Amino acid sequence: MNHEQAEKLLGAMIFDDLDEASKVRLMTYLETDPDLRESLADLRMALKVTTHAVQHGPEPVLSDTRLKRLEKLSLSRSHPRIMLFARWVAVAACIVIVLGIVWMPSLNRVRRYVQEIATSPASDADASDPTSMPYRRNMERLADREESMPRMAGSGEEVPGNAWWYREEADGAMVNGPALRGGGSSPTQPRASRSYYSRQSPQQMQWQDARQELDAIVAGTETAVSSRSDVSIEPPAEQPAPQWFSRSGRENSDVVAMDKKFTMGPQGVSKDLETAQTNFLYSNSSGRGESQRERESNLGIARSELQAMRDSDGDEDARKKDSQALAPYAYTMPALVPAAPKTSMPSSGTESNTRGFVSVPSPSDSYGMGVGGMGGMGGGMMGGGMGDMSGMMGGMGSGMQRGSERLGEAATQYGVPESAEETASRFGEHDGIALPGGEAAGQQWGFLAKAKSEKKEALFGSQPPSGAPVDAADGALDRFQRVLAEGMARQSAESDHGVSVLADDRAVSHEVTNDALATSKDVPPVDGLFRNSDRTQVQNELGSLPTQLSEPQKVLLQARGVTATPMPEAPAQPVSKPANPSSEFTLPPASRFKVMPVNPWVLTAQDALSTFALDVDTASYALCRQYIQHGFLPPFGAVRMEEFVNAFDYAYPQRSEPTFSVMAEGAPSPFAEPGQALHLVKIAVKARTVGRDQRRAAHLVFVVDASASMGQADRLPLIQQGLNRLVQALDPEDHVSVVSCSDQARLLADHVSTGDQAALIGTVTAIQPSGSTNLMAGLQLGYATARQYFKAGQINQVILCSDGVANVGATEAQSVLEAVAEDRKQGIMLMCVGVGYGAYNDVLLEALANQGDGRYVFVDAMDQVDRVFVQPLAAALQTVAKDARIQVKFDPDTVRRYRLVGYENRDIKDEQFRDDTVDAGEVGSGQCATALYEIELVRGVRGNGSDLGTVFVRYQDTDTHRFEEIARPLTRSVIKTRTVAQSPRFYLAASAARFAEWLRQSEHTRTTTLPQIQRVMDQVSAALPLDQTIQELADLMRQADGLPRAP
Amino acid sequence: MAMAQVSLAVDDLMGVVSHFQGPLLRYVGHMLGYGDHEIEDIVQETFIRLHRQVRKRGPSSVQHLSNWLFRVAHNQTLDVIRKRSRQKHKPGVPLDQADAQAQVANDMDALGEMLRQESRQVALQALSQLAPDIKQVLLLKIIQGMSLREVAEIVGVSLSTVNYRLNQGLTELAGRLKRAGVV
Repeated sequence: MNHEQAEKLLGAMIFDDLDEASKVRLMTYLETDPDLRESLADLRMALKVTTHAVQHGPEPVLSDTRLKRLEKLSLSRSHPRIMLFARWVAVAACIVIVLGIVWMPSLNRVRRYVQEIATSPASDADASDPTSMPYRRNMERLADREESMPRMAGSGEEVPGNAWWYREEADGAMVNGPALRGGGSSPTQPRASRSYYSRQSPQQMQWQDARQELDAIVAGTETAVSSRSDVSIEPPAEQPAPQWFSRSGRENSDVVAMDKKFTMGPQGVSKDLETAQTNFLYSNSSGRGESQRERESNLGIARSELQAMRDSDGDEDARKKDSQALAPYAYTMPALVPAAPKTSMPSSGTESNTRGFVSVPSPSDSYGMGVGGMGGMGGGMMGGGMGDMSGMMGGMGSGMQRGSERLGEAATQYGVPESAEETASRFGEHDGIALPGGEAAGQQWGFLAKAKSEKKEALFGSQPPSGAPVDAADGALDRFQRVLAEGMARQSAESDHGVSVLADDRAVSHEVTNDALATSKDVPPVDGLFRNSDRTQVQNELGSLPTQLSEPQKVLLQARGVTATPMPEAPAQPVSKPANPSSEFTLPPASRFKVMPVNPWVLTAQDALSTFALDVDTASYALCRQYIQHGFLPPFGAVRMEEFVNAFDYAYPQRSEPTFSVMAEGAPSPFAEPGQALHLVKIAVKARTVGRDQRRAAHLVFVVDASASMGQADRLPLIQQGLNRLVQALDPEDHVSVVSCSDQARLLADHVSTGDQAALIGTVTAIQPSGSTNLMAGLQLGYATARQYFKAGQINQVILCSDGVANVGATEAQSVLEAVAEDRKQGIMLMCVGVGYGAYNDVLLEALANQGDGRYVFVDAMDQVDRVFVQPLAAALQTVAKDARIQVKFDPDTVRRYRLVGYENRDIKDEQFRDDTVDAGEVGSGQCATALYEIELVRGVRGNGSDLGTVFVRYQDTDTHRFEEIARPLTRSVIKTRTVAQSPRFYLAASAARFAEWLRQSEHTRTTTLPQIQRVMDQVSAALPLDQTIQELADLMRQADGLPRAP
Repeated sequence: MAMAQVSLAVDDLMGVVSHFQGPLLRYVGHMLGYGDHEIEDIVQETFIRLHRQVRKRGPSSVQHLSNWLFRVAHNQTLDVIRKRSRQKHKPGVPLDQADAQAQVANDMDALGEMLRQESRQVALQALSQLAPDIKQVLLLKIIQGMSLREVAEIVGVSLSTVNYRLNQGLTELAGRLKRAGVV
């Protein structure tokens, strides 16, 4: 990369539009080109200023009049859902009209029957008169016979898939029934009624009527009768044994093959017929292939409806699918026998269809026959006629049931509110699959069963059946078997197709089921339904479903309350763009941090008091270290100056008395500009060290975030190791409880003595990351455990170990904080251990620790575990002071102005210093807090006797629970001219603070350059070569040079 | 920023308006210069066009809402600019640069000066003096945080051109700001 190439990339670099490789190359090149580096900085600054200028101020809005106009416009438009609903209503109206049309003739016919039977007694003369009613019925019956003949099956005519109609006719019309069979020669037997099976639906019979009349007129009555009479309906002599099969092997578990021919006796036939009906119904209801496929066509139709794409293709498709779906039923009817039809019959929750197979029990039910006849028409007249009206009508072949069902669905989808329970009941679950129409199907089933028993009674109830009806049925069945055999090939050819259609359908039904049951995000079990490959396909399609959905489909799903996106399995990642998507870490976005304005210079004459809570946290430094080591300057909010200062050991003397010792050092500021007479004063407050013998027993409740995001090497393993070490470091009288929280919180160890180290370590090691973070539940359980074993005088502490991504439950920090604050009053303290700089939520954890009277540390590497986690925790266990706060009162006679470095978020109002209800910092045994002030002395004050001011420390003693206050004078003599070699730790604090301010771009360090700080730091590290943390800081300063700000 | 409105329904016109009027007004405003009488016209017309599009072609016809809106607004803005350039109309609100410079020079506090009206005005001035085609690229990046590819799509030029304009714009901006003493 040369200068020009690099120059071209600067813009993209600034806007973070570079891919990772180019970025690395550019950064590498920039190392060698200071000019370009400078211009990069210029561009960056220019962009920053411009962005600020452009984005400044409130968002502009359109004027009110314009907004009103737009609003009017948006309201003027009819809502698409309303339009769609209207469309559904129109379709429903069409159905009703067509039904009326279809019904009316059959109604009339029945009326005619009744009238004529009542008025004119049957006679032979009538039978030959083409205009008389009995004649016409004879013809009609002939036509029936003709239709029942083998030509039906062999003629190549498409069997409409709606098979057989059972008929009974009243006595008066029946005179010629048997005579026809015998070629018209036999006299009629007196019979109360006649029953037979026919392929003819009532509508077809009407057509036949008309045709026969025509025939009769053309060919003469007698010929017509005799020619018809020649036709025998004797069953064919020998039929090959049918080959039994099951469709696609799916019904294998449900059916047993019937490997015998039908018995031809009347009972046998009736039984077989009955079984066949039952079988059909059952195979239909249990044949998920069919119902799924049909649902598919339903869905296809509904979709095409929704999309308002009612081009003829869609309708054709729908119809085709429907007739495909219908055709197999005829074949499977006698073939499949359920292993235990009655008991295993689902009483509801299955989708059964009236397809016209269903016989109509009695003449009085002939209206019903008309209804069923709708189904019988299949893709024929009805489908053809109505199909064009809308895609939905293509499904008429499957009968009223589905029509009404879909209307119901339509109502549900468009505005009719529906509770989850209703949905669940409506979408009864069958084998883990939601099938619509559960209850309606149940009713349907009941009706059918009743109808069947009625029919049976009517058929064979009183007298021994013989002759025509049985024979006719016989022949019909035989032919049926033939047709069945023919159907095999077609079906097996279809079965593959069936699977893919099915899979697609399942994808949608899953969504619906999920919603309806409002339960887990787990995919319902699909056992027994699909082969594994099918399941994979289903899952694939499930995954890809949302992107495939068209807009109307989304509307549909939304109307059902189904979210188009699948439940996220993984916890939500931070919104910001990761610096390097391919690498395993992601830096927390700047928005996670709260930016506090830097403390300003204060004129002592105006405000001599500086008050803040003690803070012994160090997390900010560890976090910023991570940023720098990954090539970014930390976001402003991540830098807390006081935590940089406190991150280092200043080797204050250990004392056991008093509770606090106050130490101060001062020197001319090493970073002051020439001509500025600024001094730096370091004030340290160190808590007394509590010896081992003085330690109280402890109950530590570890709340370990065990979410999936904790699985990375820098998170849970660190926590586990830290816990294990800590368990070993504790006394046997201490007790430990462990709560893990992922989706739910679980108590893994309940007040286990640390004497049982092995058990505890085993428990901790066994924590497996999975699921999301229900931090709230974890904290609640943790606090509940802490309360349960609460003992006054004992150390009661909850230790939250988390990466801070609370993504389930109450993620609002505020609600967590309130709950924590409640228990804080009881004396249960909270310590937060932050890990993982990716999704790390600094604000939440720090706020939690502050609220819970606790400490907050950040662990980022194995070698940090002991230093950051175990030792301070062991120390922090013994809090020597609560609510500790500092007030420094400067003397306006000596100090002209001052500013506090850091502690911005620990600020306490001056007047609240002695308000003991104000929450402040906790200080554990041996801990110290260091505060740096930059001051400007009043010119001319040189005397050593005068004080700079006074340091007050106020705290609650944890032993006595009394608030105590100490005051230490800040004498002028603390300020000396010191060399780095003499007081390296003073300069260490100065450098660390200055570096933090530089990182933060504090207004006070505008003139300080990084090399300046580095020079001081190099001397410090030279003076203290053994302290690794100091070397590390020096390294960080070198690395930070020229880095871009993290996004 | 552009990522956040995935959930915004295209057919919810008022929702779209309330979400996008700010960025669009800013964009058009900076393109034409603040206080221009046609800014609101353009933004309103953009929303009306969206409404028509959704009603006529369905919500699926607007794939990337933010891109769509900015493209429409952008084209309208360019039309206005072209029309005006023929009429020799000088866009933008004149600023007293010398005054701004003087004030900026008086204040040397780096963080503070960014927050000050003066430096903002200098920046806006510098921005308004950029060529429209360069300005638009910068504005789309700044206001909507779009990727280079999205910008290229909206403006209708190649990716490398966008990159070039971006560099050019930033360089010019930096130069002007530097001369004004802001950077």
